Amino acid sequence: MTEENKDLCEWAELYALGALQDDEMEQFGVHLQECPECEKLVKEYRRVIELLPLASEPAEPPAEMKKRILSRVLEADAPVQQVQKPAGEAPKPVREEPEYTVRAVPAPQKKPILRYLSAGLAAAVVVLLIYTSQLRQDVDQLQHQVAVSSGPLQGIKVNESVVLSPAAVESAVKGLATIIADNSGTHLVVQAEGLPELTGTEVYQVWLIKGDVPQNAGTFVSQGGNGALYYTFEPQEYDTVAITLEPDDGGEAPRGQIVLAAPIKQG
Amino acid sequence: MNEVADDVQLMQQIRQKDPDALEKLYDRYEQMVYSFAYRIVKDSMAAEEVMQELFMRIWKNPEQYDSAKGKLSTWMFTVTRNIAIDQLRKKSTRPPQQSADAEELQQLRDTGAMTEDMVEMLLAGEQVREALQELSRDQQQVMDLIYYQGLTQQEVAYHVAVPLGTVKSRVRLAMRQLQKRLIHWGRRDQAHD
Repeated sequence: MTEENKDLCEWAELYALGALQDDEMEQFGVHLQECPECEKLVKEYRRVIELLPLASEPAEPPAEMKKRILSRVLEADAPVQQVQKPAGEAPKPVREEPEYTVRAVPAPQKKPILRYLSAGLAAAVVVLLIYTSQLRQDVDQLQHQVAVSSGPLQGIKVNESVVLSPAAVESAVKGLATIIADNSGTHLVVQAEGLPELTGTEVYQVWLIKGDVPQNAGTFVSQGGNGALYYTFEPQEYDTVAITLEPDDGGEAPRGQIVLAAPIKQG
Repeated sequence: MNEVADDVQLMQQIRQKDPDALEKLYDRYEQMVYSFAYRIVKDSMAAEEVMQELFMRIWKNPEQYDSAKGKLSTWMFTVTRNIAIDQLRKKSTRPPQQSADAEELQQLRDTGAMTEDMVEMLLAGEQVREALQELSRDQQQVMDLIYYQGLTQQEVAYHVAVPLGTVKSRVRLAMRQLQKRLIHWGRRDQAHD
């Protein structure tokens, strides 16, 4: 054994442990092929070194670690599995693997995000469809309401119109009572002109009378001798419509004089 | 030993992308590999990362294990050590000394159905631990720096502030003592291959 070899033989332990510099490792690797003693020694050391992991104190693995690791490993593999499939491909060097896995790991993270995004967009589309449908229903409803509200103007039915006659023969008071019907009910429209000026709390009051039972149809105040009243009532037969001059608007029965009146056939 | 044959079979199934086989392998080695990874990185999250990387490699490149070259557990420990030491280097941390707790081993042995091979590995582990503890403090230190932290002779010399020759002689004495104490385990281990 040469001096140089003797020196190299001292590296056997460090070589077995992988604790030499790269160039020294290579140098000793060459030496091993020429030195059976070192070769034997290194083999024996390696068997001992292989036992060292077993000396680790038992550590409790974190909860759910198995679930996390297996799902990550299996998920990370999914997108590249087809690429990897061709058999007989040369195995990649160990040192390249971390990069490979580092690239592969984020993949499953993107996948759920896209999945959630798609699900979110799908949900948004559904919501928009529902909203649009509701808007369309609202538009239909509004159109229907417009049709209904404008309908009676065209379809209003004048059931009866009577000229109100002044109670006093020489009075210049004139009036017209019209009973009209539409979808919302039966209405009495009373118009009068040439009415005497009111004083104090006086009001004109309209009555629908059946027999001798008067039905209050409301009060109005004249301006410049003119006045009008609109009253909605349940369809019912009345025989007279009359306007009286009342001291105030609180009367449930006529207290004053009749100013205008006319017989009517129906209510 | 059936365990070895079983490992080879599991790896064949993993090559065929059988997730059940991967899970079986995981269950079999979780405790040992995790303990070893933890011994090196001294942090549960880091140890989990090491475990994940190991099983990622096993799943993606199972052909890297050659059963003709040795036991699967030996290969797994070697890969685990490489990953863990790479991680230490990246993070540039100097893990503190860990404290020993012998009772946990007994607890571990009592839980779950241990195969004969697993029990043997645990027994070997116990003896290796004792053998390591019998080393001098200086020898333990260099072994720790080299084996568990992956430092080279030069790095150890720098770290401990001793000449290269001193590191070499400490390692030599340590390895010789370990060999004397443990060679029978190594030979039994070899007999399985």
